[in-house]
Amino acid sequence: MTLTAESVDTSAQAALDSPWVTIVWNDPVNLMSYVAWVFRSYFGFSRDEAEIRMLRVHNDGRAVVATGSREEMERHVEAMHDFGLWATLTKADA
Amino acid sequence: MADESEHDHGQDAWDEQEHGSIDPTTIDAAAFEVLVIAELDELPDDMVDGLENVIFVTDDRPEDGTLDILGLYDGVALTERDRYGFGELPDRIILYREPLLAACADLDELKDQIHVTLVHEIAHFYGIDDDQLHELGWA
Amino acid sequence: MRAFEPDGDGSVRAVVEPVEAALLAQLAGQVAGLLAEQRGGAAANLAILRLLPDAYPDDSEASAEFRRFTADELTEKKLRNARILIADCAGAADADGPSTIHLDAASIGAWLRSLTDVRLVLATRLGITEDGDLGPDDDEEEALMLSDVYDWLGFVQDSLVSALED
Repeated sequence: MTLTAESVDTSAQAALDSPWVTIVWNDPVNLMSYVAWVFRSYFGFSRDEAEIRMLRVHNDGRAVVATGSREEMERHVEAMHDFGLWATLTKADA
Repeated sequence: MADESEHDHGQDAWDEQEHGSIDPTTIDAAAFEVLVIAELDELPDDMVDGLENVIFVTDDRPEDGTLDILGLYDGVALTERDRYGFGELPDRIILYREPLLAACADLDELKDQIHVTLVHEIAHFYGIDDDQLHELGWA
Repeated sequence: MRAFEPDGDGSVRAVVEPVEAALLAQLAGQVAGLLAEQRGGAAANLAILRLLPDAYPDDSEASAEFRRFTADELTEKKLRNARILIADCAGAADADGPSTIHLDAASIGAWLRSLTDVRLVLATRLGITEDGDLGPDDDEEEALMLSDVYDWLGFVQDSLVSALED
């Protein structure tokens, strides 16, 4: 494959793309039962795993619920907002 | 030494024959309410501050129509409910006028008994038992 | 109302009073109004900001871009959910007495999301910003009523989630 300026840019980008994470933040409104349900039904976590993550959100104020590319994380954030949860994305090493 | 089990820890009325009682026509519902409010006002802050969404009401007699019950805590955790109508208040502490009057010989005793009953029912709300009540200095 | 109960095949049912169904529909309608108003604009108030939060906590430009791309679709989804809830409540709201509302899987999804939206908006009006906040300090009757509504909605939503666990 010929090295063009464009392909150098793409591969450089891929190398620079460190994983991103989706974070769900605690809020005083959402019920623990609901948050756990969202984690189970959207992310497919087991009952226990969903409970653990939900409690992490509740006790620590936030929890990472997914890692991956920026695009994937944006989709998850959008889904969380659709459920009424408060989520953001950030670089994994941020 | 006295046998603990002989003491009445509950809020049940004493045997009327051993003890005088107040004529229920002398203290009507309105007057009774005033007395209860007065006793409520005298309760310590630390007892009352945690009472969110609890209302105090008075009634003539409990649902079973007896004079056996002086007071009742009527509340269920939200998560245990199988029904919750909008407009319903979740928790009530009810004091019953006629049983209390029947249990007391005079006004001073009535005020004391109202106080004791309030404290017992509030303790139910907090899930506090008799020993803890003593420790807290509430009874 | 009676708590939600499973009704077979992933659906649920509940018995509600006309006033309760009417209230749910009214609240969902109000939130829909708020959402419809802000379509295409920037997040203009606290309630909208909570319904459509920033995605990048430290990057307002990225957040703005995310908002440009997603807010409209998210808004449409929320409006759809509200409409479904309102339609589901219509019969019960007009009934003479308590009646049963049946929710299939699609409705359930709409209700869960719509109830959440309503509670979020109410919470901003009640000033509930932290765990443990119970609402207004003042005794204003309207504020207290909102607070009761907020509590009751918590029961409604919790009961719906519980019915799904069975």
